[in-house]
Amino acid sequence: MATVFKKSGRIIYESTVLQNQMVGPNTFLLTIDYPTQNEPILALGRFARLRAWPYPPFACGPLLDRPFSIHKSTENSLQFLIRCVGPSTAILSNLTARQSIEFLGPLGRGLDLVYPDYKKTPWYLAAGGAGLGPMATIKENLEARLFYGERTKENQVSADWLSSWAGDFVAACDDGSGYGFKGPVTGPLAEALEKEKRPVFACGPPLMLKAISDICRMAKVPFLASAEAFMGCGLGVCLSCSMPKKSGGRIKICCDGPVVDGRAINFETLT
Amino acid sequence: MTQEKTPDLTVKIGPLVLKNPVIAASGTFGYGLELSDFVPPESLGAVIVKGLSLEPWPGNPLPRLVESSGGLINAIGLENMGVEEFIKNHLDKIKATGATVGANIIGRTVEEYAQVAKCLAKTPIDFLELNVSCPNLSTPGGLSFGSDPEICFKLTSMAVSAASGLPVFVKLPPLVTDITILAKKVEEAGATAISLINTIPAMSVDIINKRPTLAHVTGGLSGPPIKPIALRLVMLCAQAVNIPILGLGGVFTYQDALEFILVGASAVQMGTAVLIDPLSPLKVIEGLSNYLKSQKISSISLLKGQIQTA
Repeated sequence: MATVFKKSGRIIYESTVLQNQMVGPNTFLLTIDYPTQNEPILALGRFARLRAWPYPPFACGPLLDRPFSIHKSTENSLQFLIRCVGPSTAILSNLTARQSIEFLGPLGRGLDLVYPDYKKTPWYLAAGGAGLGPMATIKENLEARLFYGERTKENQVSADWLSSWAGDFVAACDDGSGYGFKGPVTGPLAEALEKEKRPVFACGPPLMLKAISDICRMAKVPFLASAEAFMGCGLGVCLSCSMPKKSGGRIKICCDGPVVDGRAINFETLT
Repeated sequence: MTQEKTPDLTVKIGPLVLKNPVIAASGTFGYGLELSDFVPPESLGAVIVKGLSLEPWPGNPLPRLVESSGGLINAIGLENMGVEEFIKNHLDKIKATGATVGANIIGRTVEEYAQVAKCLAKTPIDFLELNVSCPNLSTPGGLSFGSDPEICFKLTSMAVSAASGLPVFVKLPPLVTDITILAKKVEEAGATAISLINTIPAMSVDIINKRPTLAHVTGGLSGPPIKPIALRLVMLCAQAVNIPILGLGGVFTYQDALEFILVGASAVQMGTAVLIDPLSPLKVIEGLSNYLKSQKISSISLLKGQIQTA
């Protein structure tokens, strides 16, 4: 049953897995049921909390819900990209159709609130690893070219699957073991910015975001990022994801973000 | 036909009458309204807001939170907006809901606690909770204020006098040789009630980077793993003092709440559970009510301290 909390538009929903498709050696596209009577969610970087383990927890099992960017939202389903990196993402990666999953969302602010004119310009999207998470919904809503970087071949998602929604993308692999350019994804991104200036939306590890923030500053283009920090609640109460702004003061990634003006924060503080 | 009577969930904590024994613990309910969409604050026995200091505090660097075997270790570091900002822009809004509101207060010195208490004394706040036991806050000697019975006595006395009649709860640390010495000291110093327990000092190790997982190195463990420790300490204190005890540490279900009440707590606080299921306090209230009905017990307070240890 879905409970809609009207003031915030948040929904708590005991959902069901529709499909869990392996799209890379350690990456899964999890599709869950989402009530058709609700308005489709405008994702654009917003996220949701997922939980597929009991409350109260098993003695040594995972406890908190986990936050994931909404990969894609349709009238009756939601998709999340799960990178299997630990015990809780292993549970989510192993879910199969008809298993239950708790959903709480949508949470946070999307690109539309941080950059209202987002549709008026073409974009470069830069995803590092699991930073592909929010990209499908972004790609769907604006004109953009995707730059996708991974450290090694072992992490790369299927190029066919990626092109099925990203179209003509640019790939880079740090150690040259996989498809795409050898080296960090910031290389081809910087080249593209030299040829044509466009705002950049990025999601990935803190050091990648730091590098892209430097490139964008030099190219004098807007830089928007979907930031990540370990979250306890995703609702603005626990302050686990509260980080300093360059201009003083603090922001909570969960409710002032996750989409933030990339020039406003020091991504090094997230490492 | 006899009408089934609704069980009485009200509890008395000194001069306060709470509508039920479920209180939102400090640090997991923001400044009172962030979760109001899920949990109307007025539906709880009380809410205790994030620890307030004289000036705003920035808290610790990230990462501040990590999971550990069914629990959480946090080193938020008491980030807060400061007592003045809370009084100016938040207190009236949360009080307008009709909720019973407590302010958790913190300081770097005994005098700072008293100053924060004084600021709040003139406001519509319902009670204070002195946080003398946060693992993320310590004296220059490295101990939490609450670990030293004499400092604890002095701090409580000063705060009670600065609070000009407001009820003062004292949240004690779990890691002390004899908790009853501290409990008796704060009772003697005029505390209205004791909150037990705060998080337990703990740490987690990142074996890949060979570093502590938390930037602050250590933090405080909360959640289900600490419940058995909390229950014992609540029982010991309930036998040692006459003032009410608010039990906390891993309360996730109404059964957990009953355990605390049976060992002598007058009410419970919920923290970690709220982060996972924001509706959990409401479920615990409903669970307690249904339990009392099914057991034909007219009032929750009849269960307080009813554990048979002999």
